[in-house]
Amino acid sequence: MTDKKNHIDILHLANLAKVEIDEAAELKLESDIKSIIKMISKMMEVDTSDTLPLKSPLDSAQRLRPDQVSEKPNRDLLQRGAPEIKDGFFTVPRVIE
Amino acid sequence: MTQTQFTIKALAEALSNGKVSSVELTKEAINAARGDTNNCFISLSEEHALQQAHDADVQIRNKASSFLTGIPMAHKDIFCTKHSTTTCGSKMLENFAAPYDATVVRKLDDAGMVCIGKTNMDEFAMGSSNESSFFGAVHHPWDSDYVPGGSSGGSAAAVAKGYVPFATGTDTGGSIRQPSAFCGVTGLKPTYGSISRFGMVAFASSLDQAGPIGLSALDLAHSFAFMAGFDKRDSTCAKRRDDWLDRIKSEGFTPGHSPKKIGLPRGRIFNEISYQNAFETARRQLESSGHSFVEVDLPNLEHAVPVYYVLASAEASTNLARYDGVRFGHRCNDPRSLEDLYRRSRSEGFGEEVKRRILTGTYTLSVGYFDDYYVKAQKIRRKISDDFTATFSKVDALMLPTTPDTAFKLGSLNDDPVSMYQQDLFTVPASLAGIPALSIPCGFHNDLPVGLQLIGPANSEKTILEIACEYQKNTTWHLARPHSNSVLEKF
Repeated sequence: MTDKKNHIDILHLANLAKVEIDEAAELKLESDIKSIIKMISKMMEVDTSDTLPLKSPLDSAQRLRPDQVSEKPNRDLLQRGAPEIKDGFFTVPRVIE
Repeated sequence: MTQTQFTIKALAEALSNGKVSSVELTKEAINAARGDTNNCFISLSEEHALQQAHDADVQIRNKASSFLTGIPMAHKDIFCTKHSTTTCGSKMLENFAAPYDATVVRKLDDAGMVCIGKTNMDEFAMGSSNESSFFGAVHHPWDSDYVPGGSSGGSAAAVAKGYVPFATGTDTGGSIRQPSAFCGVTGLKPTYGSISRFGMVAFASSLDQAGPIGLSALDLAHSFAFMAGFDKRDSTCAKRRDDWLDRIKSEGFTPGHSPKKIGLPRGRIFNEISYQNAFETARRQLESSGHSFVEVDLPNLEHAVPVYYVLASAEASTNLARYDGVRFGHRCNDPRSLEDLYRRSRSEGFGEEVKRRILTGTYTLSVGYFDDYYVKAQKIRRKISDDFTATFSKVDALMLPTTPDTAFKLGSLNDDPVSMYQQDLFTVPASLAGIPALSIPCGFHNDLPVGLQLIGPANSEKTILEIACEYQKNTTWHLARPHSNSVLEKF
């Protein structure tokens, strides 16, 4: 591991992942992630120079369906779990002043 | 300790000969589940279940039933159901009402099964102890100071407690097999792609696989037959030719018996399990049934846990990006901006373990680390898969411990995520390779159940189920229960 990799900026990660970390949890979380990364880093010992990545156990291209409408969505049904809707639209706080 | 007769097979016979009706069975199952003190269930659905039971009784009377018709069961609360909430053990989905049924739910409904409720689980299936559930930890069925395992801990405990003879589970790195071993029940993680993932809340899409948890391998064969099959709605669902599963649906499962060559992986980690005696006794039992054993090497097995936690966390961090507080799920109060809406909704909705995995996944997918961690892990995944392929050219199946030890005490590993992750040591390799593996009870250690694992090459469920059926024909560990409370015994 390089020095760069020994440093984990937990607040930067939280920013990327769109979660908030309160001060009380920050130190514990940073310590946990460091332990996990240390455990994970043991795999660096394995020689993989001649090995191709395996992305899925099926090891084949994902099956695609024909580009055709198969089901007509029921908007009311799909929106029944929405936290807030108005006139059939999902609402969010104003983003343009 | 007592022995249960509450198997699917026994119930199917009782239903078909009129000894009991599905409505009677269902009422008893719901009453028993209402009195549960182990926190196995997140929700019960009496009205829906009684309607299904009534319909099942009509089908049985009209001789239009399947082997599973009228039998009470429970779904892990990761499967979308129209009739009840689907929480995935999370505050994020506490009030989520799915607009459709998962394919697994639909298939078991079509087979006439009666769903009495949804079982507790680790939040978003992330955990090995069932302590990360927003709805509280599940307690071990044999000793309530211990964990039942996870993430399908509610399903395994509900079966062990005798509320239902069968429950669905999902297994990403051992979440069916590990709780099955801890609770003394039988669980199958099928080949990746055998059972549709449509309507199953995603954790790590290249690893997630649904499967059955029950009392016997025979019961697993019957339930697997009705759960499996191609589904055009899941692009990772495989087209398999499974004549034996079609025959089970029409004729039932009659396990064959032919001597098999079983591989025993050698290495330090296998010598360190706490229940060596039970494991060795089970091996001798299988040997006395005509199976032979050879030692084999799986050189990359020890790297499976790091590889798994890179891949699973990376996939989780992307899959869980969908929870944004806009379209469904938890939303914070009075968001000040869109950014504030995202951040606070996710922070309030996700628990500690989920956040830990999202951050781990975010780290390993970050610019500069992607090749070092994610691609590296995918390469070792291939080496692990290749190890299995080479081994299965010499043996029919492998026998491994399911877990390094028995169930551990509630709260004992909460502050040490790495030790918690090591619990998955023997289960993640089959998950990474996408091959079938089942756990069967093989005895007790310190008064708690322990399990052994049978692993086979892709699409070899029949082989490992037959070995397990043979073992369970000659042993009774799978029927051992802490006390007698099974529903069937009331009739």
